[in-house]
Amino acid sequence: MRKIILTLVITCIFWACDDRFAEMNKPTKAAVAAPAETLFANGVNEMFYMMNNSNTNINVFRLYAQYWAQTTYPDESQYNMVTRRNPDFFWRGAYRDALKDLDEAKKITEETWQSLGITEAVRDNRIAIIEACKVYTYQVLVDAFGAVPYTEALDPEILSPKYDAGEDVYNAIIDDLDAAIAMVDVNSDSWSETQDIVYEGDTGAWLKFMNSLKLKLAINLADVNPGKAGSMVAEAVAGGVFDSNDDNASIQYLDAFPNTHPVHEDLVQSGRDDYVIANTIVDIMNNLNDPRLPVYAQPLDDGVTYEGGVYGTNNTFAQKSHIGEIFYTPDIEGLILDYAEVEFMLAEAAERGFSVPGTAEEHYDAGITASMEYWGVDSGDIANYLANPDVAYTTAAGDWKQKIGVQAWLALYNRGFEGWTVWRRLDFTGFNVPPFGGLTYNDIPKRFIFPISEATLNKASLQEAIQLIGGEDSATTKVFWDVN
Amino acid sequence: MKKLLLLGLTAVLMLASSELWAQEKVVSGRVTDAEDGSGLPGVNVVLQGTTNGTVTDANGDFSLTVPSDAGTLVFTFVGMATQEIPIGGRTEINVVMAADVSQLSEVVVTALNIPREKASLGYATQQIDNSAVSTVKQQNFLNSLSGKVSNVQIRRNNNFAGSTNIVIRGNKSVTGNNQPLFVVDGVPVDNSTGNSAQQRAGRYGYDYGNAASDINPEDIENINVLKGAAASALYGSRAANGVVMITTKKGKARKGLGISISSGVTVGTIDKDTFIKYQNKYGAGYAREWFEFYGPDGFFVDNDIFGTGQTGLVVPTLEDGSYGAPFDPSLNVYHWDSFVPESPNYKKAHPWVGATHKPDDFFETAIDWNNSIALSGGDEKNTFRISYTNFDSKGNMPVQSLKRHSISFNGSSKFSDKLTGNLGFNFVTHDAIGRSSTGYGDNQMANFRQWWEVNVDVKDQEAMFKKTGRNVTWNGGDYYNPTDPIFWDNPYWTRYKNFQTDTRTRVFGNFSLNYQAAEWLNILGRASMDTYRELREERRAVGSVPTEFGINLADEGSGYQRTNRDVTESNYDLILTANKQLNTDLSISGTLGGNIRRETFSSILASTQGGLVVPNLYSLSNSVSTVPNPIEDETEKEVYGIFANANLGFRNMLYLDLTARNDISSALPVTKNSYFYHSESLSFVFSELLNADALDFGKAYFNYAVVGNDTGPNRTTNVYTKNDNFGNTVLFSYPSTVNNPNLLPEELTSIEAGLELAGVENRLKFNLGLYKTISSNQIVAVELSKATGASFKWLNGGEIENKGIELSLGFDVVKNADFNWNLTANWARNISRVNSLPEGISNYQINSFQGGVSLNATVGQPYGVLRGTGYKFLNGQRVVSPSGYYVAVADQVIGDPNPDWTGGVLNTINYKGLSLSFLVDVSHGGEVFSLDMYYGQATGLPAHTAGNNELGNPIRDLVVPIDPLDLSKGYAENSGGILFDGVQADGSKNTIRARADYYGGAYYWGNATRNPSQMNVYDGSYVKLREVALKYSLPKSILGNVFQNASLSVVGSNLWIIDKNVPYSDPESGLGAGNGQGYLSGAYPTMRTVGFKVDLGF
Repeated sequence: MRKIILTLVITCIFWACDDRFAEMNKPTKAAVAAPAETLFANGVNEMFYMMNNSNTNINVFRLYAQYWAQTTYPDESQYNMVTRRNPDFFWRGAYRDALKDLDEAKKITEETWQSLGITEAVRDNRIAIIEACKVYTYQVLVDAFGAVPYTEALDPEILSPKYDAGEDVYNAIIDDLDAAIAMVDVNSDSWSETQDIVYEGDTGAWLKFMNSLKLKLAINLADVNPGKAGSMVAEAVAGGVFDSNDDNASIQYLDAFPNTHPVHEDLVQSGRDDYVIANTIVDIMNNLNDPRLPVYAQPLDDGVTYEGGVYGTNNTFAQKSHIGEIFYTPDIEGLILDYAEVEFMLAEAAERGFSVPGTAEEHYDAGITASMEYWGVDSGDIANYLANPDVAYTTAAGDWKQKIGVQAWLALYNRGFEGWTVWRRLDFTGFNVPPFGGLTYNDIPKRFIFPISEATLNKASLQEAIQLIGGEDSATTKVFWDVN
Repeated sequence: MKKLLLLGLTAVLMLASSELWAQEKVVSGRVTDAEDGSGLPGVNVVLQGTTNGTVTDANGDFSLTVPSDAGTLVFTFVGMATQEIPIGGRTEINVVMAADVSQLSEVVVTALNIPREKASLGYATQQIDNSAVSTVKQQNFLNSLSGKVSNVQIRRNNNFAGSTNIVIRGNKSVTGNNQPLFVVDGVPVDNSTGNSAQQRAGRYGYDYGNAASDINPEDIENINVLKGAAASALYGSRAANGVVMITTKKGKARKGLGISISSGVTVGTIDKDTFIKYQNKYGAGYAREWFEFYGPDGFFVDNDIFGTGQTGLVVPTLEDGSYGAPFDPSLNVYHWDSFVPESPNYKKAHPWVGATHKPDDFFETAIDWNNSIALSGGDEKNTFRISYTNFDSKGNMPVQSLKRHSISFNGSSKFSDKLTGNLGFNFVTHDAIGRSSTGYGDNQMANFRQWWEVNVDVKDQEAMFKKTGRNVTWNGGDYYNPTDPIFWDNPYWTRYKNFQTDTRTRVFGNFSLNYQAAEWLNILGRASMDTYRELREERRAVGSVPTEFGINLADEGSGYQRTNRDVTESNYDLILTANKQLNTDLSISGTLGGNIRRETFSSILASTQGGLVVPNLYSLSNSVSTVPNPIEDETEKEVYGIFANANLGFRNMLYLDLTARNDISSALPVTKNSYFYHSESLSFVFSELLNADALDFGKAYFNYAVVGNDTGPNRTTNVYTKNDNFGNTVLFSYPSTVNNPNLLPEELTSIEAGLELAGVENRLKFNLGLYKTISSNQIVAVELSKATGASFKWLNGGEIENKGIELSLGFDVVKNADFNWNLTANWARNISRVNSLPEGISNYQINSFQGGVSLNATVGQPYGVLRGTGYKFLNGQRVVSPSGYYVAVADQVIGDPNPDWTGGVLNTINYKGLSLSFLVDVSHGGEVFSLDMYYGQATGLPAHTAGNNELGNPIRDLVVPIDPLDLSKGYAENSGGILFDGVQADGSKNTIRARADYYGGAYYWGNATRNPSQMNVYDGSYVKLREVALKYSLPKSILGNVFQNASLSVVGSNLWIIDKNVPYSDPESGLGAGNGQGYLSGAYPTMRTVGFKVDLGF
């Protein structure tokens, strides 16, 4: 009798539970499916965050570009990448936060476009835009680290993604970008106005972004592969690059956290006074009487003097020029690619003998003008500035690399990563050496070291990657295109 | 469940009513002690089957009126063998009672609450009785186990009402829970902390304590620790880390109502050996030369600060370190309080001297009150015990308290000869205010130990806070308005304004029916439940320094966060137990049963964002910005288990124990959710064969067990994360933790062998245990290269091995009527090794901490090693750079927090009514990383950063080379700096002096190339005088008839850290319970407590 009852009980337990258990173990408070457009918007937002933030744990490029100096804790200005693991967080922002969401948005778009009732042309536009954003992010990764996972990246099934050489990644993303450009149909819609936080669904604007991005890839390749760079520049210009500040790839931040401009978090919300403008840029702008200085920085108490913090060491906040007031407002724009930058690249292309309309000087002047207009400088001041013999293209000191380099760097003030990159590419002089621990000019970083966590999480691939960049994971190892 | 409880209560009350009697006679007599023939007072004399009874008087005499046809008198007395004497026609009955000598046939409660004769067990258990947890009482009873049970490693963390980490026989799971299962009278009791992920990683957060601390030590009868897998196989997977089985006090058959009252007060003060000792020579600042505008020496701001036309020196309040100007009482400077209009020093400069009141004076005297009353009684059929305890604790920092009320009921009723019902019920509430903030977050200890100016007087900070009610801090950020805080709030502001609170209401209990179907067959049905709800509230007052807070962990200058948690676990058991003596040699017993376990967890976390609109209003609607998406968690899990156990006994000498269990868990993928496991153990009481006089008892045992394990709910289906909208744009993201639909159950294999001996007339007892466990196929949230697009993924794989040895020794050094001295010692060593990790992973990061260090499971290493930048070695010597600093090498194993061995020695000395006991608790080896030293030295706080060097000069003086271009020529006689022990790159002895005059020098926190994190790794060994208790039990001659017992105790805990190697800290300090151990950040000092306690029994 006992056996029979038990058998019955056990049988019931075994049979009855499968469906119930499956149901029980399903999440009830989290989405198992999400629309592609929400992942696209998140990926784009993260891409902008990664490039625009000034978090001392993540994006230290305003310091590396010597735009900003630190006050009490100058570790990052002294190129300490280990304590705060800055490379790790920047890398995480690129792969996990930006690229993976973009990639997932593409996958979901491919799976669900028919059920959304959109045309193939709209689908292709959406995918092309995603691809362009991925290309942008991968370029930044290569420019930061030298070699990065590409072919095996973004797949949680591959636990130890191998790294690809920087040049290989460049070649691959150039192909991706060309394919994306070919997919665009400017007469069709793309993402919705609400979910496209950059161009509000303007497909044509995205096409200009793609061509400008192609120009940016080409210019970085100019020293290492001028042939390919030259033809890419020609194609990009023919396809149509940015021709006014209206074309800028920007997002409008809002006035309430968490959608405020990321710099606002560090300058205002933190309640801290960690940053002042650096003497490197202030000294140059003072010398040039640059009318952007009152935008970039605040004067000392006397209301007229601008004095930068000594780059690479401690400064007292109260004694140095603060970052410009506009950066203390929450709802300014964030940029990842802009018209001024495009004009400086065209100037550079002209000097390098690539096929572009106009002269280097015209583009140089246009770049300065675009930057000044962007920051609200009036036309008279712009004209005066351009007439300054230290600025005017024909009379300014140094070779073309020095002239274009310094002015592009001044224009890229709120874009630390590109400011640092243009210094690496054009090698203009003027950077200071941090007065700390015997650092020399050569110690100014040429790249981020690989993330510290990769040594434990992806060791074998990392070892290969170190060989790919020449055998040493050093901040002074140059990335593949930085040959001069 | 509710209905069951009501029914049970009614039944107990009804059956307790008394009966009427007819014809009567008086029986009288005397009870004497078999040992010395003296009269025994206080012996219970009860007429069997009734409530009619009495107690013997001071001479051992009694007298009782009984019906003339009455049957049997039952004589009971604690520690004596019970006597049953039929009355017959007698009116005088004299009884001799003897001590109960059945200790060798000790009965212990084993898994599923099944009592078993200890001799028959083929595995290790260790039992401790009530006095171990109630004599020297702790906020958290777990702390009382420290040093008393071998191989139970306790780490109490020193956080007020905080959690205690308890690990038995080493960590077995890479990422999962490594704490044992707690079971109270058969009810599994939740012991989670619910501490947030960032708290566990050493960032912002509070330590909310273990939930098991709700168990009231006053109600504990005894605790039995089941250490191995074989012991706990019947509990299934959850018991893989061992089980702490708690049996609560029950009522006993007796005359009248038993009342026991216990009242105690404990006061605590900090042990200054565990707090920072400040240097008292140099004040605020980071260095001289960085601040070129700071006065003539580069230490002070030199300015006409008050617009009086006269310049004066201003203390750099912004610099939260103490590498500034040497103190000079003749130098008057403007301090932080010179800028506060309410201060008597407003606009006044005053002398540049070290603080009179250092942060030591921030601590107050802690006071705990503990009052409890218990009523118990019963007759042959019904027994009950009900108790109430009020625990009221005031911590050692301002605004810090914990109030706990516990009500406990245990009742048992014999409905018939065959049917018995038991009801156990506990109701606990607690209210806590101002728990310890831990780690690097908003924690005053991080402030005092890492970032402080030794010229700041904490009492001045207190006075200014109390006077102004504002956050007037020493750490002003703006040199024109230095009272506007920059990094650190006034510490009193933090305590009074930014505190947390939490309340918990908890019910746990069980109802069981036991049916003796036949002499050999027992059927038990049991329903049990543990459920609590909790509200946790965290506050930041308007005007605080913005720090990470709220759901998005943004820098928030004010805010409110609340978490509601509901946790419930129910268990339903049906257990059949059979017992049969087959013949004179062979006995067999068996258990067959089923268990249904249901767990539900529900929580919601919500916070304000962007600050609070109305100050001092702590509600979600008072948010400046839109309230961020709350985090909801709603999970349920069920596990169905069937199990069987057979125990074969041969001549009370050889026992074979077999168990088998199969579980089906809803948390595993449906196709692979059933898993089987088993254990086999053998026990051989060889003393039955031997006839050695010296050996009273000898047993050897051996067992083998395999235990399966499931995982937490909702880990098999991937989900997307909803982020806060960007304006009207909706944002979802790919999850940072990837779930896995292909998970398999985990497996733990263990073998164990042991020896138990008793000899010299039971005065000497010796236990030896050896074990090895291998936990494999672990379910691990593996951290991924972020290039995969995710941070973590649930995977199977990995193996951890733990092996060890444990010894315990009990010795009655002196044993006679008046004087007893017992010595109990235990010692254990556990060696862990991570054999493998999921494929493709060579290292798993358990926690990544501030300071560039992490805690890891690394293949080939013990579990939980510390990694970070290490020393560079050349021929075994530390390499020193050409600047005189230690060279750093990235990503080294720099420490192993696992102790080499742990042990304890308890001495108990009894002389008549006087009892003295003291416990020495030892943990040897094991390393800790101190973030407190990492930053605290770099900011020049501790005394040794302002000492003298071997030349006799202050180390903070400048390094003066004879020839700056050729350091090999040596240094001037007046040179400061430090000469580190080590070698230069060429292998020659280091002769380069390191600077120690600024934060970036010899004590700098380090970077990729120098001052490795390893410099802040310390040996975590300790030897502590853990407990001392002196108890006086009043003799029966004084007690008279009113009291059954009365005692007075003076107790002390943590009175003396006899030895330790971590400077300025208790090596036991930490963030809280969990796998992230070996990391000191913002560590709280140890509290020394002394208490007084009265126990009365009526």
